[in-house]
Amino acid sequence: MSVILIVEDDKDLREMLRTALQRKDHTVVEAENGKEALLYFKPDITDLVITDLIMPDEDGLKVIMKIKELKKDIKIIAISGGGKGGPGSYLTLARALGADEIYYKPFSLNDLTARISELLQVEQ
Amino acid sequence: MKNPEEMKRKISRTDRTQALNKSGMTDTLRVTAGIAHDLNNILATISGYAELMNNDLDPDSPLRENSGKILSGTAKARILTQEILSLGKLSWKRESLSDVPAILGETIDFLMTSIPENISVVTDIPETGLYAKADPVKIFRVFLNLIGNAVDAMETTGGMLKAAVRMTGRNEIKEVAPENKIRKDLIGVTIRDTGKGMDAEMIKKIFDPLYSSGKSGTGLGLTMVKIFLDEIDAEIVVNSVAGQGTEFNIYIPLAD
Repeated sequence: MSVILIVEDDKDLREMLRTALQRKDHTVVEAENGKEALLYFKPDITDLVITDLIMPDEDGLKVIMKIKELKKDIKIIAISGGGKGGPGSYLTLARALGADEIYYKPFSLNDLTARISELLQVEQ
Repeated sequence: MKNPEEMKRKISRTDRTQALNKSGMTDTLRVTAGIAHDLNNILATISGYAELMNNDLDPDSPLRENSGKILSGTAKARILTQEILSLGKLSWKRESLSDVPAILGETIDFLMTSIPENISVVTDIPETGLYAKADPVKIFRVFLNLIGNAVDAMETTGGMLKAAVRMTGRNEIKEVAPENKIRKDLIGVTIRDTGKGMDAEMIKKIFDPLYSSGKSGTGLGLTMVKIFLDEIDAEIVVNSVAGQGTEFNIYIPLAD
């Protein structure tokens, strides 16, 4: 069982992710923007962060940078449904900033949960 | 008085729009990008719950077909939202150089979740950059259309999609398109499928506006492909055999 922080401003999507991850026996902490994410992220407790990128109150790129400063080896998955400069520009930046995996929305939930298991196995 | 949930949603959208505004996009694009972004969130929620439902069903449950159709629908809608984001007329400050192999790889990554399992994908894409003087969004859109058509052509039968990029000399284009005046080295891109293919009559019409051989779409896709490629003096050559498949070869001038 691991502790996963979900950072997503869309309430319905956040709930869907929480349901899926709790079914995999993970403990889920939810933040609806970047500011909350930085409050709820605990370096000693949080094992993995899933973060949206375009959000009010601190975007996901800042979240990745700040969380990486707090815990260098934290596993991060970035998710995004849009952005400037065409597809993937934000996600490419997220990857460059240290995200271990990136997904365009809508993504395959089974792919996402499988990747989470892989990343957490490496961690353990 | 509005209910608190509705007000919260409105505030949330305004804040997000402000976040997008920092990027320097035009007003029209900003609004459109915001809508596409929100739609993708909704699609992610729908497809996620459909997958959760699918995981709960017995392997032989007839309901699996229904959840599969929800997933297929959301995958198609995702392509539409991407089309909205990359519409050429909604221009924002564009980069003038395109790393063609990187964009082809990105397009395939983007489409992977909507490619049915009965289609195998083979790529031969160099990791080193090959740059063309072109708008990356338009190059993405060219690949999106061609690969999307290839997948459509194999949807029922399955098959193999091949996408490759290579550097080639001017001699190759002299053979296939002698009227082309390009005097530079070229980036050669191949998109090949083993789908239903086309006869000679269909090939003549595929770049015509409003002609569509697919069961969906307006037919504008390949017309736009041709327009975008003409803008950068690129050439597109089609080889197809009915019942065997189609190959598109694109030749894009290498940037100086």
